[in-house]
This record gives sequence, structure tokens and C-alpha cells, in this order.
Amino acid sequence: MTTGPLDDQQCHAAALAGLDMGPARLRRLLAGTTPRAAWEALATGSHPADPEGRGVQLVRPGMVEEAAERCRAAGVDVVVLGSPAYPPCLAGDDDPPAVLFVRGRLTVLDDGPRVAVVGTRSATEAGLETARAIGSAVALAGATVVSGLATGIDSSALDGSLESGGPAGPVAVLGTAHDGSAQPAQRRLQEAIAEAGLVLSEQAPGSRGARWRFAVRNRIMAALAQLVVVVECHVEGGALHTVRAAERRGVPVAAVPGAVGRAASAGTNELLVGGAHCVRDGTDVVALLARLTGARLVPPDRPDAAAPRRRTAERRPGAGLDPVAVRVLQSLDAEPLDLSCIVERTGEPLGAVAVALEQLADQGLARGRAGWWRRVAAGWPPG
Amino acid sequence: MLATVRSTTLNGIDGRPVEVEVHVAPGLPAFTVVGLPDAAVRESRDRVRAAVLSSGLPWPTKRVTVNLAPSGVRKTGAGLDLAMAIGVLAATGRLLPEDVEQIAFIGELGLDGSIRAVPGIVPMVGSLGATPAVVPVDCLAEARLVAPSARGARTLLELLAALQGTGPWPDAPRAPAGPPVAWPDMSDVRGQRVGRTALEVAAAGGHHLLLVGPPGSGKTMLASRLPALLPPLDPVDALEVTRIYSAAGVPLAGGALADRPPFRAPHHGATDVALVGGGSGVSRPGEISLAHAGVLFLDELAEFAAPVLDALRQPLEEGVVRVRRARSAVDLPARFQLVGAMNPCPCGEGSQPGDCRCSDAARARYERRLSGPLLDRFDLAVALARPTVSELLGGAPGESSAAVIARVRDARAMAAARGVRCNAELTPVQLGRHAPLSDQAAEMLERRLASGALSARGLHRVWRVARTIADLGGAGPLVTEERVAEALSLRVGRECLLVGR
Repeated sequence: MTTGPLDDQQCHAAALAGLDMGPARLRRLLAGTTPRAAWEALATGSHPADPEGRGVQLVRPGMVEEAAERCRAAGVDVVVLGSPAYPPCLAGDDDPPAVLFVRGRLTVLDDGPRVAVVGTRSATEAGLETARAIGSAVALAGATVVSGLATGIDSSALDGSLESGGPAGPVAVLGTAHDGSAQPAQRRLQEAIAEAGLVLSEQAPGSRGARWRFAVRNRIMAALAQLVVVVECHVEGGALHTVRAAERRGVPVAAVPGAVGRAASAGTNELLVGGAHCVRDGTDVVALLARLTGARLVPPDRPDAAAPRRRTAERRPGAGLDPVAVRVLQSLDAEPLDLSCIVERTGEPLGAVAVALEQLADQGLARGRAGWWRRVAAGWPPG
Repeated sequence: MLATVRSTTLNGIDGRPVEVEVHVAPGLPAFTVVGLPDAAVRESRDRVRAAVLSSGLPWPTKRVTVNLAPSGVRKTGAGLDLAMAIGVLAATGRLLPEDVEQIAFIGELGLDGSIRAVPGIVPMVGSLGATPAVVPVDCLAEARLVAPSARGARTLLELLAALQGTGPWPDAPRAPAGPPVAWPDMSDVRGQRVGRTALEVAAAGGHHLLLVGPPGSGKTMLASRLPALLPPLDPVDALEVTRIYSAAGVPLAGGALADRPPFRAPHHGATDVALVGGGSGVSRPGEISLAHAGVLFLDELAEFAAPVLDALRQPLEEGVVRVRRARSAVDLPARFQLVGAMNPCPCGEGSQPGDCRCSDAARARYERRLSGPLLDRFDLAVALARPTVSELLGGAPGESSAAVIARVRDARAMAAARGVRCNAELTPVQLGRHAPLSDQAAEMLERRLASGALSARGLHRVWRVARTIADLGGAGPLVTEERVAEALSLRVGRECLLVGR
């Protein structure tokens, strides 16, 4: 979407948001007045929401032009609470952002039901794959994926949605300003989402990042979503902020179960014990979403249900493997094992195990990273 | 009257002969030292005068001038005290010039006339050639390692008697034999198949080793078992190590030549000078020189200051550290095997997928501590996991060090047949000649190169490690696919550190 030049009110709203205050205070400043009037009252110390006149110190001449220039440079549109462009799903929330900085199409929010897919930054490979698969299935079914842009689960879910080629573009809610993410991979993903979907932030471009902003940002994801799915999460992980925000709003929460004892699944398992919906993959998520919202969604076929069993009958995976590779494959689990453990389990020398793992990886039966290996589902049972 | 006495001074780890010229002439009583003395040498004046007087000998009430030749070279340390005192005694006629002119004197004087030990005896005596040396009696054992004709002295008076033939030369004191060194054994290491293999390969091939793992995964336990696996030093290295230890003032075990490879493990608070060597005035050997021909173990590698670690890069390539200061230039040998141990991330749990609790910023900061070029120099980088409870309590004891030592010795012999000390020194040309790759092995490496998982420098490192693995397996000249796969699997520890890149 091409953004026209910002009008005077939008420029003042951006400058107000750039003063780096919490969302509630910003909302009070803008309540029942226009951004320009609020700004001028703040500058003269006569704003009723600022009885001590602290705004006088904050406001400097030229700040409005500066804020407008930053928005223009970042290609960001400004949407103020109460304006016709403001997304109705957020306007109805009890803690809405007073000013939204937007890249992409706001209409994405009207496309269909929305699922927030969130989780830990420090995910296992299996968790990343699950997040990607859920992102892709949700998008293919015509629903919208909402997530943060953190590495790990969040990025994978958004990536899955983008790659699926499904009709709905994903929505990324930033915990920083639009120009605030430092890592190149995040920047690339952010650009792609701005192109295909929507990127939201409540911070003015150029604002300094702060840790608390991420926790506050989570309420926006919860407010946008009709379902929050947690893929992997540590005990007391950041994704639980989103879960709590969702519970306060009555938004249902689902979690993907993981092995007992795996640190990255401890948080999700606890959610399940506490009564969260249990989902295994994208098919489960889409079915649950359809049930909860009444929307007509077609869950995609589960990739590893009946089809692979038929396929194993024709051509068993790992048919051409040598005996050592078969033993190595048998020793592998869905949970990653370290190389020492595989050598111990098979009793084969390290060199032979290394060759076997390479062969298994080539055939797509096992996957390894940094010395930790696991079996890929289709490879079971070995031939 | 003029007297000339020989002595020597220390420069880095080399001795430098010095002539001590003492001139005693009529004039106002004074004692001056010229010829670029440092502070310790200037202080000699007070020690020498007090020692001579305490010994009951007369001090000339004349003008005494000492010149240290060659006068353009800076003289350091207190080792010239004895030569100055002997020079004064010769110049005042207390000793005959012919009794002292063919002997070199090294030693520090106490105010009571006793002769005290000084560091660097081995290189200093070694620099004298055929000239017999008199050294402090406590250093006599050390001096005799390089000069059997060396003699000891306990006090100035006793030395005077011995020189004049009226007293005996004291014998070297018996060095107390320390308790036998109990090396920790490999059989204590439970589980850790990959870590054990990596350690054995490192010992056999002299490869630099990086151990990455969470706290309690046995990194330090493994590293401390490396020195026992290494073969004893050859005579050339033994002398070189002894010279370095002597110059640094590190006591030699049992007063004998160093025969085991050194193992140095400096704390991560070490400064770059402490590690590399140098210092103001005297250029002292640093930890990397003390680890020459042995192992430098840097525990908690990422906690070392980044400039300190980067100072290791040049010596790692060249095996020598060239310390240059405004007034001194010293080359210190530093051919060491680097063993590093570190956590995969600040919280320590990052090697097992999904266990890390660090923020992205914290991980990125941590990864930046270790520069890419330094990481590149590790041939072996293994990721260790904590052993399981059953391995710790119920597992069978691992193979003992003795069996490993035998294999390491055989592998080193094979390397020696190729004209290198160990496989880590093989040049790319030698690799082509001595480590031909099988077709599948070459294909496996090509695939890695093409995918960018392996750099050209990395290729040679993997190739050398594969050669060592084949040597340990007792296989023929051909390096097979299995060896290359093993070599590749022994460097996946890099991936734990490069997760964010």
C-alpha cells in the first residue's frame, strides 16, 4: 500500500508517540481532543491530563517535523485511535494503542479469523518445524497468522505463513519501532511481511527500544487474535505474557505438547495441564479455530497420517541403507541426541556413525545441528 | 688499578655475555656504575659494598668506577653483583687477576656476603660457551644441565678461599625429589565418547582443541588429562623448555631438564603481556612461551578479554612471539597446542537445542567475544553434553590412559616418518603426498566446500585431522570417507557458537 503524505494531525500524533510514554498515558493525552490540540496544550503546560506541566520540558520546537520525516523515511503510515482507518478489532479492546504505526495493508485484519502463534526464541528444531507447519496450514486455510518478530517460534510461524502462498498475509506486531530491529534476518522477514501482510508497532520510528515494550506489545497480539497458540515455551517464558493477556480478554489458548523434561516444552506442558486446548499441528489448529469462531475453514490434510503408511508399503524409507545406518536410525529419537549418546547406543565407532548420519541426512531420514541428531518422522519404522 | 671480570645478563630467554670492568683510582671516595644499567643493577652498588664489608674485607677509600661492556646494551637484574664484587677485589689486589680472568661470575649478593640465586641460569650459563662459570650454589644443579664444569659458591668469603685454592668448592645441594606426579587417568571419564576421541586425536596430531559444553559436562576434566597423553619432550625441546622456565624463574622439577610437555592454565583475568610476554625493561616470557612444546589451556575462553585472545593469533601461526619495545627486541619461542573450554552461551545451556535462556543480544555479545579468525584456528571443536546419571554412577570405567598413550605414540611415530613433529604441522603439499583421499572422502569434502559449510582453510584442517584419525586407527596411507566424516563430526562445536550467524 502506498502511503500518501501524512496530514498535520498524523504528524502531531507521531510526535506525541515519540515522547516515549506508556500506552495508557498516551491514550489519556489524546482522549477527547485532536493530536494537534493535545500537542499544543502539552507545550504550554495547559493539558488537563498533565497537571504538573511536565510536557513543557519534553516538547521542543521542530519535533513534529522530525517525527514526520522519520515516518516518511521508514515508509510508515500513522493511524490514530478514533480515526476511521483504525482497525475495529483493536478499537474495541480495553487497552488499545492510541497511535499505530503501520506498514502494509490494514485490510489484512478483515480477511478472516486470526491466530496468534507465539513461543520461545530458544526453540528446538522440532518446535521450529511445528511453528512453520502451523503458520503454513493456517494461511492455506484462509486465516491470518499474528506473531511477533522474535527469532525462534515467532519468526518460523510468520515464515511458514509467507511461504505457504495462502490467501491471507501474516501480521507482525513489533516490540520495537519499525526501524528498531538490528538483525539482518529479522529485517528481511519484516520487509517481506510488510509486502505481503501487515506490520504494526505502537512506537514512533526512531524510538529507543526497551525491554518492557515487548511485554506491553503482547497485549496487541492477544487483542487481535481469536486464538493464541503457544508452540514451545519455557517456564516463565515471555510467551506466557501473551497467554495472560489472552486469558484476561477471554481469548482461548492452545498449546503444542512436548516431551516431559524438555526445557523448551515445560511452559506449554504446564499450559496444557492448566486446561489449554491441545494441538499437535496445523490441522489441529485450523480445526480448533473453525470450531471456536464458526468460520468455514478447510483444514489441510495431515501430511503424515495415512498417506505415508501407504507409501512405506510401496517403498519403505531407508530401503537402500547399509546395516550400520539402519542401526543408527533405530537408535535415534524424535528428541535430539548428542553424538556421544548415539555412539554409545549403537556401539559403532564414531567414524562409521558419522558416515551413517550423513547418509541418513541425505535421504531426509535424520536431521542434525551442532552435534545433536534426531529422527525425522517419515523415517519410522526403518526398513 | 683495572680488573676485568666476565659475567652475563639475561635478554628475553637468551644470555648475553657482559664484561665487568672495574677501575679503582685515587680521588674522592665514590662508586659509580656506567654502561646502561637498569634500576636493579644501579642498586648493586649498595649491595656489593655492604657484602664486601660484611665479609670482613676492606673497601677501597678511592674512586671506584664499574663499566658494563658492551655499553650500548641494557643490563638487567641483580646477577652482575658477584662479578662487580670480584672485580673490586681483583682491582684492589685482594685477588690475583689470573685467578679470575678465565671465569664468569653470576649471582646476587646479600648484604651479609651470601650469594643468592638468580633466574635465567640455564640460558646465561649456556651463552658463555667454554668459559667456566661460578654460580650461586642453589643454581648449581641448573647450571650443570648445560655446563658440567660450572661451580657453585655459597658466600663471598668461601668463594675467595676456593678461588685462591685454600678452600673447597661446595657441592650442589640435593634437590628434594618432589612427590611423583600423579596424572589424572582417562578411565575416570565416563561416557563422553566424542570428547574422549577428540582428546586422543588432539594428543596424537597436536591439533588445537576447543571444548564447548554446559557447566559440569567435563570440559576441564578432559583437558587436564591431555598432558599425560602427550609423548615426552625430545632433547632439543627439553633444553628449550628448560631455558624458558629458567629465564622465567619457574623452579624446575627435581632440578632436572624438563622432560614432560608443559601444561599452562592461566586464569581468564590474564593481561595480554602476561599471556604473550614482554614487560617494561626485562622482557619476560609469557604464558604462551611457558607452554612452548606443550599445552596452553584457556578455561572459560570467552571470559578472556578480546584483545588478549587476538594477541594469540600471530604466535599460533608462527610458533614464536616477537616482542618489540622501544629499547629491546626479543624473540620468544611459543609453539604451543591451544586447548580452549567455554560454555556455548552466557546461561551455559545453549548446546542442547531449546535449553538456552539467554536473550538474543546476550548471545550475540557472547559470540563476538571470540573472533572468527581465532575460532578458525581450532582444528577440533567438540560439543559436550552432561553425562547421564547412569553413565556417572553405573557406567563402566572408560579406557585407561595407558592404552591411549600407546596409540598416540604410534601415531606420532608415523608423523615423524613424514618429517613433521605431528600432523598439525603438515603443509597442504605434504597432505597431498602423505594423506591421499579416497574417492568417497574427496566427494564428501567437495560437497561441504560447495555448500559453503567448509572454507579452504577449514578443508586443510579437516584433512589433517582425518590423517591423524587414520593414523590412530592404524590404517594405511589412504584416508577414507569414514575418517573424513569423523574429522568433520569433531568440529561441530563451532556450530553451537555460530547459531546466530
